[in-house]
Amino acid sequence: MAETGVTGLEMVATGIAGLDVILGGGLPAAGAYLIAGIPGTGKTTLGNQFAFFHAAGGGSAVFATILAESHGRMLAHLRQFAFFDPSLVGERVHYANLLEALDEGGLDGLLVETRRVVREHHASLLVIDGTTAAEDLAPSPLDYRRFTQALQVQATLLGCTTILLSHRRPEEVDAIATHVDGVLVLARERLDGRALRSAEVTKLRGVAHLTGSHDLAITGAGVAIYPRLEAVVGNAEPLAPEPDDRLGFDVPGLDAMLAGGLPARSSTVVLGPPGTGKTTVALHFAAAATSRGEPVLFAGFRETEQALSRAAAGLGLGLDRHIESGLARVLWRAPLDLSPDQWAWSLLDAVAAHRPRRVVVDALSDVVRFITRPERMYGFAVALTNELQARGTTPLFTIELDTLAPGDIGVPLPASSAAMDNGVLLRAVERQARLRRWVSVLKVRQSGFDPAIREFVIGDRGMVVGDIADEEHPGSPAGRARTGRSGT
Amino acid sequence: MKTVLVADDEPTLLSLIADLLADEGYAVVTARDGREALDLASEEPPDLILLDVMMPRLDGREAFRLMRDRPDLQQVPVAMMSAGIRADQVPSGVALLSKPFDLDRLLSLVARLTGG
Repeated sequence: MAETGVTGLEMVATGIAGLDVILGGGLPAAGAYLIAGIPGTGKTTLGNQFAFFHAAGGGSAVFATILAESHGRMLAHLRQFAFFDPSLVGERVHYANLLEALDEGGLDGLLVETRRVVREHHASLLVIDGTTAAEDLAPSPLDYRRFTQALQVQATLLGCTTILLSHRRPEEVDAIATHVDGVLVLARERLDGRALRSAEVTKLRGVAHLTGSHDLAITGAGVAIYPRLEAVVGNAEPLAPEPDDRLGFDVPGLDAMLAGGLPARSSTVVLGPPGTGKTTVALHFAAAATSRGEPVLFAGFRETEQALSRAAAGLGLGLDRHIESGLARVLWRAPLDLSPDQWAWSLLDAVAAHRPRRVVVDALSDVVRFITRPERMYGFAVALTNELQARGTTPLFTIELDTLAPGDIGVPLPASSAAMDNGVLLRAVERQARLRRWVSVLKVRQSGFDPAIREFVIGDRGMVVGDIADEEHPGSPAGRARTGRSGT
Repeated sequence: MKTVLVADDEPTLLSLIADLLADEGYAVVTARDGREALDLASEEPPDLILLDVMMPRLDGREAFRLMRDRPDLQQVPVAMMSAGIRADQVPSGVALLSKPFDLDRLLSLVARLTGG
């Protein structure tokens, strides 16, 4: 329930994994904290989730309301969440109404009543919902600030971590923030019709925490918070690629171009416009793993597990039976309303559980287009790549190019692509009223490779790489990769 | 009923300590500084004196020294409350209650020093 953190403070975990990460391990015990956010941002759910987790760990929690929804109605809503355990209600999670105490005794009466319920239930966690009512009924803003300070002192004296839930906007709680040990702001905004929820620790005394905004979702498990990937991972020195240990595609022509395959633990991007065969290349890479009895993780956004099985079978790749056996695991997510951080953490969880040697992401461009701030894209991609390499995997990412034209290539993630160890470019070109596919190796870090541009076909034997492509063709794929902002 | 004199210039903490001790059955007298504590203790010696160290007008150490000069207060047990000093920095025979402290520590110390 409570552990000593790195700072020596006794910490109370909230049980919300992502929140505990951004808090630096939890909340220092016996402090007072403010959680502020407009209605609908998840405060009440979060407060109850914390209380049930605390109680499940052996603590005693009081969830007190001032002017909020009735306890019956609240409990009815809570039943939908996995954290709700009815056996704890009244035993280790106690509900109390403080409105009468406030009406009759003002803020002093409220303070006395909170003290009474905490002591009555030997509570080590107190959550007070609807504190805005107390603020409204306070004789003056100064009186309410004094009340908040008294709650903070009381929390320490009673050894009871105290959480105040307020639906004030973040800019309206500055005066109160002075008198509490920490402030968590929950926000909700609309972007292109999507509702984006986020959480930010704006103050936390005595603990090194992750600053900035992090994605928040309300799921069947309760409130889930997904720390910004690059704020948590990616700084560790990645394991160096192993040039002598090659991971091939089992496509003889392609493996020859790569001098035997991709160096183990290197990162690779496969670039190409729609229909050029990126998923086929990715499936070959995955199937080459399973044919050696190695686990592989295939994270996709277009093809479901069933569709991938069919596609692999159509290419003569025996991936379908390995998907069935579990050797190949497919992590599918519709590329709709996606939280990049949520997806990235689920990918890393899957890596931890499945321990694959190869990881395929088809396509990284489906993820990063949901990153709302473009300046994050580079950090996100680098953090993900570094972490996958640090975990001993060899990641391969496909990236969809927006253009079908084979001339200048606008890479949607220029800096990210540049950060990869290896690059493979696929193109489709018109020739004699036919579309032909070309493949070229852009780079293999610290290794030689075949610089030729070769034609390839995709048939029922999969990808077959052939001769050097015709250099006389207009719009020759000798075209430069335009690297956009990086200027490199 | 045992009487506890509590002196602290932090009104919120003073009020809470007083309420919590009263809840436990102690008679509580409060002072906002060392001078007031000395005056109240002189009027009617309590069973225990809890002194904050840093207080206006007369700090806890000086108040303690003056109390020990008074024969009627020499035998009254004293505990000092502070966030800034160590046990070896308080006068001999004086207990230290380091801030922040929780209720259990407060009550056990008060019970011990009042013979409860």
